[in-house]
Amino acid sequence: MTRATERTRSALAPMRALGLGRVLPLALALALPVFSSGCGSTRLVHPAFEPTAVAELEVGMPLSTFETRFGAPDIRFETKLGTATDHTWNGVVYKYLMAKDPNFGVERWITNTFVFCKGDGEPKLNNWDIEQVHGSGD
Amino acid sequence: MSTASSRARAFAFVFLLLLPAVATADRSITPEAQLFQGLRDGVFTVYGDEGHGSGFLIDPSGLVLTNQHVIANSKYVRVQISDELKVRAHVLEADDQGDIAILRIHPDRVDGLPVMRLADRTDDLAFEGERVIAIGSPLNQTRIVTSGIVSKVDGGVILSDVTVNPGNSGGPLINLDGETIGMLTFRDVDAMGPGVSGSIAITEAKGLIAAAKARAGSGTPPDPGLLPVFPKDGYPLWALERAASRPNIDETPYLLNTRPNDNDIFGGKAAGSQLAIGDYFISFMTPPFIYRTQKEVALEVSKKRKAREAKGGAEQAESFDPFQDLKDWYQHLGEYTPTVLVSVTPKIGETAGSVVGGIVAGAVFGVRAAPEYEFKADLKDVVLKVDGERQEEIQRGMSYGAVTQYGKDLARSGQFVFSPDCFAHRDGRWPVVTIEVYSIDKPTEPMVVRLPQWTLEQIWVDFEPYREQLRFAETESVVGS
Repeated sequence: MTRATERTRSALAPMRALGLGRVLPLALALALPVFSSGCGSTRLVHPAFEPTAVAELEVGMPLSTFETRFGAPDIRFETKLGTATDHTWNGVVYKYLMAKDPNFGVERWITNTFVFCKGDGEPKLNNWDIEQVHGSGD
Repeated sequence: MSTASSRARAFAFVFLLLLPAVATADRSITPEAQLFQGLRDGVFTVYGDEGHGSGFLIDPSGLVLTNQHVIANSKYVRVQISDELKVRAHVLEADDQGDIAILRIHPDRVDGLPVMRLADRTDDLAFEGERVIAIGSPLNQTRIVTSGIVSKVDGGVILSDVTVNPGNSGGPLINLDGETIGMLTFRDVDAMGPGVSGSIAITEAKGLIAAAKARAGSGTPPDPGLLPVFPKDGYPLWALERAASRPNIDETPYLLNTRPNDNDIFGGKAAGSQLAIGDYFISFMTPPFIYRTQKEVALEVSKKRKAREAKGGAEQAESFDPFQDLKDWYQHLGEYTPTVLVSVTPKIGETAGSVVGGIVAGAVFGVRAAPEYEFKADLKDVVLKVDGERQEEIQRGMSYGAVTQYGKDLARSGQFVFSPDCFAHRDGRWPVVTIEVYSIDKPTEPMVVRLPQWTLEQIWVDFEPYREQLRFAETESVVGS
């Protein structure tokens, strides 16, 4: 068995489980090029990052409000911040991978990053770093 | 209840309230702790070309005593005085057989630091059962203290139960009077457990110290300029996990000789693929690349298990977590430091005689004997330059490898640790980064390779989470926590 065949078979395994093993691969083979050329180039990743919504960001915004507005992040982690200052604090970091950076020959993602301060109550937006806003010409 | 009983209870209550304060104020400081606090700044980390050990200040003129094996076969010797200060050192005296060396660093860099007081008697230098401490830089630690007792004094060697690990070599063995009585040097590596360790009696170094002092009086001290040190913080854990979790990582930017069209990248024949490949494998490894490489097998073999977990609805406690090693304490082990590891390894190939013999044997007898292999190169040195300027390594690690089966050969390879700043985008452009590889048999004809831009880009991208972590360290909370 060639490696390519192995890969194809493993990709088709879930379809076989659904009883679609014979029909669906052929249909997909025809449909995929259409899908990728028709929709792939215009579909926005994290469409909520448009100028108006971004302009309304403010320090202290509760995490739940933020997430309702912008959706779930691609990367989330907790970390300590301010370790080089007098006051160390705990933060929750949300990262949204917006697009592959065309300025790099290797894989680099243009990323919007938001830091929430974790206290007694709900985490609140403390600071952010936005690399891309949809519709802003970026 | 009697009055006396009430008073006693009241006293006991007050006493209990005061107890934590009293215990803190009168906290017991052992003689070992006092000694350590007073002397630790006079103990340094010594870097040679093949690894690191410890050393200690024996004269305010900048003389440092260490083991010869710490700096053996080293072209570059450096001494790290503190977390931030590392300087060049000259080897003033070295006794191979006695395993003693005396280094010199610039006296301005040791101004005000404690100079070890060396015991100068031979009769009762140490006695069995005497308590001692050792200070050194074992493993990935710097200036840590261990203690024990003298187990045996045997000629010029003091055996003790002080724990010794790689990196302790060259550190002082100190008695409770604050005298340095020995220099930690060896342990029985075959023994299970900590066992006993051996220190060279300090009196054995007496002659060499006198000679070094005489030489130091006339020579010029080494440059006091500071050299790069290991960053104190670690690489962000989340970024390691993400790097290992991502499918289909392109590894070619990390490995100089694997792109099919090297000639296009290196800008023509002058620095083309033949020159780039040469007889060496050269790789540039970042923490995410190293971690990913280490996790590759675990992730591959856990795929079926993950499928079973998903099928059975396994709870979190029952799920295999390939990243459970990522803990906040991992950086204390020196793992995944935010540095770039440049690895230069000679290739192995069939000897010319074996190739010819194989062809002849094949033509005449129709059989092919087992081929014989050898190293195609043998590393002498590596120099990294950025825009034409030589960059200092944080650490050098030259080591020998051998071909033992299908041939017999021995050659040197090297691993060199650099700051990611060496490869960083600056002044709106990518710098010209070259690596010069010198071979033992061609010491004046280095193989010069210019790093392709994608290698610089990959290193830059890999260190984005680390740069962010540095910014986070400076970020203040404006919403309160």
